Amino acid sequence: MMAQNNVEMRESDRPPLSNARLGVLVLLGAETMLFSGLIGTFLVFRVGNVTWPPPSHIGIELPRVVTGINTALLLLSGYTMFQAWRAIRKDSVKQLRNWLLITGVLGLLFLGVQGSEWVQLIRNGLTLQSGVYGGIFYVLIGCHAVHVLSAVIWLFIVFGMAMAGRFSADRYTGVDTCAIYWIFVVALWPILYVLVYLS
Amino acid sequence: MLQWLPENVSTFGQGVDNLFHAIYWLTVVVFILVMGTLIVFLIKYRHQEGKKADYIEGSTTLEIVWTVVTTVIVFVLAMFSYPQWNNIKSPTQFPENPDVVVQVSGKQFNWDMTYPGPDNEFGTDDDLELENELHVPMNAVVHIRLTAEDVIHSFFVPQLRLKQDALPNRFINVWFQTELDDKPIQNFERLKAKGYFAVTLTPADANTPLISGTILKETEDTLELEVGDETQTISKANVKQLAPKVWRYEIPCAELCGFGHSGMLGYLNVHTQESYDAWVQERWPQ
Amino acid sequence: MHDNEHTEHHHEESFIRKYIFSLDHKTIGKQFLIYGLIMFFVGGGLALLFRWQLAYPDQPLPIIGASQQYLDEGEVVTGADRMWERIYESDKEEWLETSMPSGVITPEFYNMLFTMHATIMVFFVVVPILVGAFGNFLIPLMIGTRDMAFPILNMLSFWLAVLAAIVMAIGFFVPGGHAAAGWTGYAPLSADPQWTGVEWGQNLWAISLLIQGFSSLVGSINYITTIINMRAPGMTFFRMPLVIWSLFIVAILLLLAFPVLSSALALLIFDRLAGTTFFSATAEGGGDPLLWQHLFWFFGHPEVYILILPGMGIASELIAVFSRKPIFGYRSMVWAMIAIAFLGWIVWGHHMFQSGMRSEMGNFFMTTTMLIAVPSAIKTFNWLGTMFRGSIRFTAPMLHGIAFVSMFVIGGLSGIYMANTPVDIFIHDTYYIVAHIHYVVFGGSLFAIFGGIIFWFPKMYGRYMNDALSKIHFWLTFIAFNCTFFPMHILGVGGHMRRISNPQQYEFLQVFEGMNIFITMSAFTLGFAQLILVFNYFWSMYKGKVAEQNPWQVNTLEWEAPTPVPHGNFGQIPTVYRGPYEYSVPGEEEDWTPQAQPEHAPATGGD
Ligand code: HEA
Ligand code: HEA
Ligand code: CUA
Ligand SMILES: [Cu+2]
Repeated sequence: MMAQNNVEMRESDRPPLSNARLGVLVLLGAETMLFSGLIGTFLVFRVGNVTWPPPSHIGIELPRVVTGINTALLLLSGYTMFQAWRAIRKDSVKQLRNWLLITGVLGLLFLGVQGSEWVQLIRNGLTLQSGVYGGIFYVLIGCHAVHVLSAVIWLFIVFGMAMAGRFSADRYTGVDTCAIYWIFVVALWPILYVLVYLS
Repeated sequence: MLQWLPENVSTFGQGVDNLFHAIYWLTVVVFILVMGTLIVFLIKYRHQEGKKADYIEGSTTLEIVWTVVTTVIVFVLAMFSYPQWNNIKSPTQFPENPDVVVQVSGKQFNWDMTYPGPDNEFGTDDDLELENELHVPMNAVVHIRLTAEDVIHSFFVPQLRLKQDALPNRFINVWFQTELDDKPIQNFERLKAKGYFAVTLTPADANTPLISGTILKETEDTLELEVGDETQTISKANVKQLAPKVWRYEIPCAELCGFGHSGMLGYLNVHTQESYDAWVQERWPQ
Repeated sequence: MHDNEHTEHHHEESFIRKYIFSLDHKTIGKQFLIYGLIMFFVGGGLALLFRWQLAYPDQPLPIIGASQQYLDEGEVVTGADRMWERIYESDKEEWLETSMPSGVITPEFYNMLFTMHATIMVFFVVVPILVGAFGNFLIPLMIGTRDMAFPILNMLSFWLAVLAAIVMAIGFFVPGGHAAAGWTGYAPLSADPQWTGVEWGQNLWAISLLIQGFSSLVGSINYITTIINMRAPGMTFFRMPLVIWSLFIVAILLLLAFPVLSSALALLIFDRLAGTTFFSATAEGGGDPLLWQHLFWFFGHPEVYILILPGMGIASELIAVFSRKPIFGYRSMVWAMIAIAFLGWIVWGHHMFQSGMRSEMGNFFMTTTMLIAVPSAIKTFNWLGTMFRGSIRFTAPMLHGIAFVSMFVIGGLSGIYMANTPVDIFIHDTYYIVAHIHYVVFGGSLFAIFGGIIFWFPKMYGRYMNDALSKIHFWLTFIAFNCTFFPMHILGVGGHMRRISNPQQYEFLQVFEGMNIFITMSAFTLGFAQLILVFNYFWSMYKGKVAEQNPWQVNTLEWEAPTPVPHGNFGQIPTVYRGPYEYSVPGEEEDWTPQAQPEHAPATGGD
């Protein structure tokens, strides 16, 4: 503490993380707790039932394989997002655009597969009302889907800004914050996949 | 303050009350110490012209002292509490071979009591269902299967020091054993508050026959009894002694359960053995 | 994105930009303060209504209620009688008719009253004032920066809170009435309209709290970022005033706790509107009757520390300033707050001792809960240590600071009874809990709030609050408060359940009739005393004695800013040379040494 004594800080002395980046990180703390609440609920039901899915749902199979592939898609999008971030740090706006586009398409693809899965499941009789099994499935997975959707929207806004040439190697806060959020949403998914589909 | 506690009549209640008293004295002492110090400081160190405050930043010794002392107090208190709690609430430590088993089910806004009957099994023909009335023999071990039909209720008998939420779709076991004395008494103060309900009076005048009835109202020196179908008012001065037949305690619901929560009320009737046998005989005549 | 580049020139702002949709943290802070005070009167008014019912069960309310003659013979005597006659004659179902026929509070309405009383007091009074008002006003000023990190989010936070209040208010007037399942909203009671008869009221309750959750989220992101990133040069973490520390810790608690409540509220709304059965155990394939309680209290216990920590911070400021002494054990004060915040996460089960969770859990939660007495002891004794050999000035803020300490000790000590599982068997869900609640939250948080308002008023409005009125308000409040809430301990020892509308229905509670009447009388006095505060507040805004820049001779940075504080706060950002509590430094002329005053002698205890 003594080290800073009498030091006049200049306006250019910037903290290690800019406000926007720090703000997004803090937001992720809250998101984590939101999902903790839902995952906790899931665990309460999962642990409280000897057979899972409960006997009344015999015959309903969650599509593990398709979702497994979908998981891979989403993880891939995490990688491409990382590439986009690396690109802008190397000041390559063109690569940034390409990687962002790929990432966004992967995100949309993920959502599309999820959507078709849901349609299939509802046809098979698993609905929001079918006990806690159906209920927590749709709420938990749906909550994640909403997050992916908002991440995709955010990403396309950033993409638009990239098209407008708003980023460069020393001005890329917009890419950064979006990337942080995206990585969070991607990293969350495998946990949900293992819990909800495989347990 | 603790004289306001309702009289305790259960075996484990004494343990609860002892802890209550211990914490009471602990907190009274802490409170007096803290407030005493505060007041002394406020008077002694009030602002006086020309006197400056002393520049004191703290004291590590003191910090350690009060951290350690409070930690020790807390752990000692906890050590004394575990056994009491386990004794009351841990199913593995309940006394085995209960004398009576009852199922109590809360529903908006009544307590449903189900007795298994002579075969000791629930769900058979000889089950007996009562609304808001629980009957047990005195000083017997009673096991209750507590449940609810709709929302959460809470089974509370202040005099037993027993409270337990009743959950829908779950059975929670609780137990109690009363510790009552059915010897005739001569002290007639606050009979109702002590739970006296059905009693037998021995009049002071040896020629008058015994009077059996339930206490309706009580004043300083009279008792209003229901004897058979009529009510009689008897002066306490004319009574030599009084023998209990049934004690009666209220069973309020202690968890908010809807608009009828206030007034959701059952009764625990603790019978003398004789009275209980008569009650059983009446319900399940052999 | 857009950095907080500051331009110094003043431009005239329109009224709307300046007072309504203001981006200035000081204005937003004052908005939160006024908002909280208004809601305080709403919440308090509801309490007075149900206090009447507790003292005089099933008797018509004064003023609004019908007269006895009207009830007996249908003869109109008073103006209220005429109103009731008109209501009964119209064929519309009137709101008043269903909730309090002839002015008698129905049991349904009673449940709704205390539910909304607590919801409003907790979510719309104490948190908005402590965190919203003091947080906004003080953080940038005390750490020496020009504004919050995200001014637009800051404004959003306030207007979301207003929206939440509006949604909550609408709930009173929907058919079926407002939420009536307690502020804790226990499911299954709250999860299905058939149990309470409440339809949209409970939904609006949940929606309003979800909105309030967003407001807190946005606010806490702002506070955390601002405190981490924007401290003035030299303002290290361990030179921050304790009130800033407390707000920092509380922001983290809010950030992490509220989303858990949001998840529970979302599930509740699904149960009520989409036919899921997360909380209702009776349905086929149904959920868990204790799930809600776990989720709620996992949020709820950190929430109660959210209610007290800023109060502790404010009290620390007041006690140090008016004892003219450094805080005794500044660092342990900080660590104690961190410890309280941390322990707060692992004690939630103490609200559920009698709920039917496993008995071993009871032992765990008892131990962790009682451990919180340790950091609380550190705080209490350090406050005493701060006064030790001080030079204590009994100003109105200081009186509140002292009251905070003593009332918090009473409330905290009653917490020990409840933390003790065997004793809690008896006192759970009795008025003992109600006494505890109000000692910590009124005796604690509200006294700190009152003290804080009087203390920072000169910085907010450039004028003092009237001293005589402040002191009358203090003493009336202090006495009436204790008369209202202390006897509740006795009710609790007698086994008096909480949340019952008519204690006279129980034989064993009949002895308490007189005490309940006494409590109600005191509560009305307490309510009356608050009118003095409000009058003083608004009167002093315009007519109070003009205050100099640093009227209490305080070291912290907010008093370096000119009064009234201009947009941008400081002409030049101050540099910080020392800790916030350098009072009565030996060898100094004055008994205070501002944080921003450059060193002229070798520093004695700079940190
Ligand atoms: C500001 C709010 C606030 C604060 C700070 C606290 C602080 C504490 N609370 Fe309280 N509590 C509430 C608000 C608060 N509470 C509310 C609103 C409820 C009811 C919710 C509802 O059901 O509606 C509640 C309910 C509640 C319960 C549940 C009771 C029940 O329903 O059966 C329990 C049980 O353990 C409890 C315990 C404690 C403890 C141990 C502390 C501790 O933090 C206190 C620590 C402080 C001290 C101990 C005093 C200072 C220390 C000393 C002077 C040192 C010496 C002390 C010893 C050696 C013991 N509280
Ligand atoms: C910050 C928190 C806070 C505050 C400040 C208060 C303040 C008060 N509270 Fe409350 N209270 C709670 C939090 C709080 N309470 C909580 C959490 C519960 C638990 C609820 C539950 O069980 O779910 C509770 C429950 C509760 C009960 C128990 C109800 C029950 O279980 O049945 C009671 C009973 O007396 C009570 C009384 C009071 C009183 C008299 C005040 C007084 O301090 C109020 C002072 C009065 C005023 C400030 C009003 C001034 C206004 C005027 C003078 C204008 C008059 C206007 C009209 C009459 C319309 N409160
Ligand atoms: Cu049943 Cu309250
Ligand atoms: Cu708690």
